[in-house]
Amino acid sequence: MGPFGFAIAVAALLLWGAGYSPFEAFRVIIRSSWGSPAGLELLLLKSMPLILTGLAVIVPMRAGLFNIGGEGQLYLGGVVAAYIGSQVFPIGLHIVAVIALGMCAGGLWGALAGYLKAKRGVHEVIGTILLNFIALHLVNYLVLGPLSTGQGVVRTAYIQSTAEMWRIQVAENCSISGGLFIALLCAFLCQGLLYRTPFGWNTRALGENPVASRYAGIPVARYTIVLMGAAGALAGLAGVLETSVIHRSFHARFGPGYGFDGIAVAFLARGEPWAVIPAALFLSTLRTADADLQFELGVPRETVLILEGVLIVLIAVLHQVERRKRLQEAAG
Amino acid sequence: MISVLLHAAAVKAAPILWASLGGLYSERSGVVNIGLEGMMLAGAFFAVLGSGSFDSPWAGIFCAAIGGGLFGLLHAWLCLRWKVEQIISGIGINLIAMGVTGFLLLRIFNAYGNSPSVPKLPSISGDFLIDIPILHRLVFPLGWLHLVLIAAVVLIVCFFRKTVWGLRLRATGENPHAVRSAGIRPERIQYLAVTFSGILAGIGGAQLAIGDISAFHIGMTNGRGFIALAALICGRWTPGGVVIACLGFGFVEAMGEHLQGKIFSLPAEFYLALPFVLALLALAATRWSARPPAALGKTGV
Repeated sequence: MGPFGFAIAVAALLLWGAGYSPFEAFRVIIRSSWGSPAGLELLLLKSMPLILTGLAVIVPMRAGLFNIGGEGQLYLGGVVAAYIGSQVFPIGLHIVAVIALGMCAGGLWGALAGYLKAKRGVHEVIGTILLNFIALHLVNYLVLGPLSTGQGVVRTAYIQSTAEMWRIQVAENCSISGGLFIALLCAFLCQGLLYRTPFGWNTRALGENPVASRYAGIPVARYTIVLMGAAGALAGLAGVLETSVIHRSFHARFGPGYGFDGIAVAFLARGEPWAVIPAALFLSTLRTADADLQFELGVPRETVLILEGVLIVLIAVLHQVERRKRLQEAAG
Repeated sequence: MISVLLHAAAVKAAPILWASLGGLYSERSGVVNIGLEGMMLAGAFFAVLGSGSFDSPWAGIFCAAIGGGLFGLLHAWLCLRWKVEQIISGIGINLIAMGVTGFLLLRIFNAYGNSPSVPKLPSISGDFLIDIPILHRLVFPLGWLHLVLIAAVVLIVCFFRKTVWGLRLRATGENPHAVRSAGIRPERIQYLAVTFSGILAGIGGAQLAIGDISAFHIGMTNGRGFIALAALICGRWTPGGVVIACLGFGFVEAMGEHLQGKIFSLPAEFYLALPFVLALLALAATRWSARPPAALGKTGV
C-alpha cells in the first residue's frame, strides 16, 4: 500500500498548499464516491476504463516501450463499437462483435505506432502522441460526417440493445456492469501473460536488458509491434466499454482523458498488472468526486491533472532513489 | 494570393519555431524535452496573466518567459538532480502544466475554458510599402515579436556556430565525459540549456496567446509543442533545419485554413489532422538518416 498512502499524502499537501482544507475535501470525496450505492456504482464504472488504459501503458512498459497513445486508441475503439453496435446483428454475436472489432481498431492503431518504431525508427512516444491527434480529428470527422445522426446532435446513433453490456443489480440503486469483470479479467490475464509465459519472460527481458535480449535472439521488431498492438487493443477495449456500458453512442466529448489517466495508473501500480486495480480505484475515486469538489469547495477539476503529474514525477524520483540505494549497497 | 498564403504560413510557423528552437537548446545539450508542449502552454497562460495585470503585452512576454523557464528548470532539476527518465519527467510536466493553467484560470480569472481579453502585442502595418501590394501582403502585418524571432534565429545560429558556449553545449550533448575532463561541468550547461529551452517555448506560447490572438484558452497549444519536437527531429537538430521544418509545418497549417471549403470539398478535420500526419510521415522518412546528439537522453546513468 506504499504508493497509495503516499498518493493520499501528496493529494492532501497539494490541497493544503492551494488553500483548501484536506479534511473537508476528503469528507466530500468519500461521501460522493464510496459513501453511497449510487456513488459506488459510478466509481466502479469509472474504474473500468482506467484499469484497461493502465494496462495499456504497463504491458509495453515492461519491454521498455512507452505507450502515450491510450487516448487515441480508446477513441477508435469507442467509435468502432458505436458503429458496429448500431448495426443489426444476431443477438448473442452482437456484443462479441462489438468488443472484438473495437479491440481490433485500437490494436491496429497501437500496432501502427509499434511498426513505425520497429521499422522506421520513429520513437514510440512521439509516434503515439501524433497518432493521438490524428485519431482525435478522425473520430471528430466521423461523428460530424458519415456517422452523424444529422439531427443537430454531435453524436452517432444509439447502439442496439443487443450490443449493450449485461449488468448485475446488487442493491436497489447500485448495479455492477459486466465490463468491470472483463477489465478485471484483463488485469489477471496480463499478470499471467507477463509472469507465466515465455512471451512474458521475453518481454520483461527486453525491458531489463535490451542488448542482451537482442543477442539472445528475441525478435525485437516483432515484439515491439505485437506489444504495442496488444496495448492498443486494451485501450480500444476501454473505448468499447465506454460506448457499450456508459454512453451507448459515441460523441465528441467522449472521454475525460482516460488515456492519459492510464499513465498515472500505471505509475501508481509501479508496473505490476494486478496493481492497476487498486490504482484505478484510487483515481476513479477522484474522478467520481471532482464535480462535487468543484461545486462544494470550489476546487477546480484540473487539480486531478496536477496530482497525476506530480505523482508520476514523484514515483519516478522515488524509483531512482531506491535504485541508487540498492546500487550503493551492492557496491558495499 | 500566394503572398497571402506565404505570410499566413510564416505567422503559423512562429510559435512552433520558438518552441522548436527551445527544444534545440535542450536536446543539443543531451536532454530530451517532451515537455515543450506544457512549457508553451504555461507561457501562453502567463503571457495573458502578465499582459492583463500590468496592462502591457511586453510585461506579458516577460511573464511568459519566466513561466516557461520555471517549467524548464523543473524539467532540468528532475532529470539532472534526481535522474528521472527524461520522457517521464516531460510527461509529468505536460500534465502539471495542463492542470496548473486550468486551475489558475479558474482561481485568478474566475473563468472556465477561456480567459477574458487582454492587451495584444502591437504589429506594424507597413503602409509605406502599400504601393507594392505583392511585397506588402507578403510581409505585413508584421508583429513586433516576429521581428524579435528573426533576430533570435540569427543570434542562435551565431551562438551555436561561433561561440565557445555553443561549442560547449554541443559537446555536452555528444560526450559529457569529455566536457567534464576539459574542466567544465556538463550539468551546469544542461541546467542552463534546459531552462533556456523553457523560456523560448514560453515565448512561443506568448506568441500564440497575445501575438496572434489576445486571450488564453484551455489547452490552446493543441499539440504545437509536439509538432515543434517533430520539426526539431526533421530539422536534424540544426538551427537552419529547424527553421525550414517549422516553415513547412506552418505552411501546411496555413494551407489547411486557406483551402477549407474552397477548392476541394475535404472536411475541416482533414486539414486539422494534416500537420500531424505530415509530421509522422516526415519522421518515418527521415529518422534513419538523421543523427541525434550522441548522448541524448542519457542523464539517468
